[in-house]
Amino acid sequence: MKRNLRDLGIIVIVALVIWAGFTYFSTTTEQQDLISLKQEAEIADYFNEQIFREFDSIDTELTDSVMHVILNRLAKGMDTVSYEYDIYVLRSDQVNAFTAFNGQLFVFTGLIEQTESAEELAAVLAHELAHAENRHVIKNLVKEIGLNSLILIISGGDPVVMQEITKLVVSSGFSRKLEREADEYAIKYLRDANINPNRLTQFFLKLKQKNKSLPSGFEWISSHPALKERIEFVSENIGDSVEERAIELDWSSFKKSLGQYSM
Amino acid sequence: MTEENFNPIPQPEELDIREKEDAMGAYLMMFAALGAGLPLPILNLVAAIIYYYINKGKSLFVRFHSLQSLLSQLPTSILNAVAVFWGARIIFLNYAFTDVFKGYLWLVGIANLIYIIFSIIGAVKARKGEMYYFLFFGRVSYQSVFRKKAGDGRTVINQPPKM
Repeated sequence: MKRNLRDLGIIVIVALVIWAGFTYFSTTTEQQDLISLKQEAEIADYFNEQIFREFDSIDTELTDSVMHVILNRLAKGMDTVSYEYDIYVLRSDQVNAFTAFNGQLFVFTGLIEQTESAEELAAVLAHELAHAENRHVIKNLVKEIGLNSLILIISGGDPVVMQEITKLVVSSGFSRKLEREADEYAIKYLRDANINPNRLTQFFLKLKQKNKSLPSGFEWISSHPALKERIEFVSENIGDSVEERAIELDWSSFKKSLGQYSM
Repeated sequence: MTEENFNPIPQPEELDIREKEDAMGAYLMMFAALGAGLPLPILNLVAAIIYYYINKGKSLFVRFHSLQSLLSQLPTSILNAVAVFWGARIIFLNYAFTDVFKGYLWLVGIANLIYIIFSIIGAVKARKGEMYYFLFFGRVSYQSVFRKKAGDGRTVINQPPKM
């Protein structure tokens, strides 16, 4: 009887050691990590070329400094900063913002029009920064076109394929899981940067109310599925209330200055 | 626990071919069931239990090998079943594919490999008419099958009715 117990013990312990050992030593190499940052920078060059061919970028001192202020504030809430981030403002009526490669974020003037404060835009950008920090764009591309094709494209830079990739990135169709992850990180960034994470849900709700049935042009919302679910998720995970420190920007005059560029 | 509490162990030359093949079948049968039960690892447990009960009435040698085979596949079946349900949650309910699950998959793979290797050895030994004891399961099966039950070996003496 004693021997039986001893043998059973040996089997259980060996099994647990195998499990724990393989858990500890299995370094999950995520597929997006197989694309190096240098390779990503190369895609970014092709991508920017494509984007700036399609859209006008509003590159004034004012937009630069405004984006800089918001970015600096958000950076305070991020524990890792993997890229030198650049935020470009593109002239378009689309209510959209998206993450591209190599830490480049793009916001359309249409989306800025819809915001009422710098904090609201910061909330949207926090979500995009979370996509960038977690390399969701690369992850998504690997899923859509496969790792090998992606590496081929990077080395070749075929313009037709790049055009397709550009469409994919601008529409920013991430899976529900990646969106949730980005929301999770965005909440954390905003909290730690002293911005109320509720700004994100507020922005969602406002857009939802203004546009009961979302017309075309509201890409940022329509590409983010199950809005109701996300609002619930964000409000459930906000935690304690945050004492918000306002971002010192004259938002209405900034918007007014953008107005002169609108189409 | 003395030797006297147990029935004698049959030696290879005492066994006939039929018994040896039935004993070998216990291991091979589990393989077929393991294959068939892959999507739902509980199925092969059911098959194993049925095989054990069919052979229960046969000689102690056959019973021992059937029971050893049945018991030794219990842990792998449970590990496999958990892996299937855990995996289904990851695929269908979007749970995270964690390192803990990865480690678990390794454990399941290794457990299945060990189980298969020992079952083949068991089948070969059984065919030769040898007793072969797995760690833990071998002794438990032996104790369960060969222990003398109350009443075993009692000689019956017929008596006339009481006058």
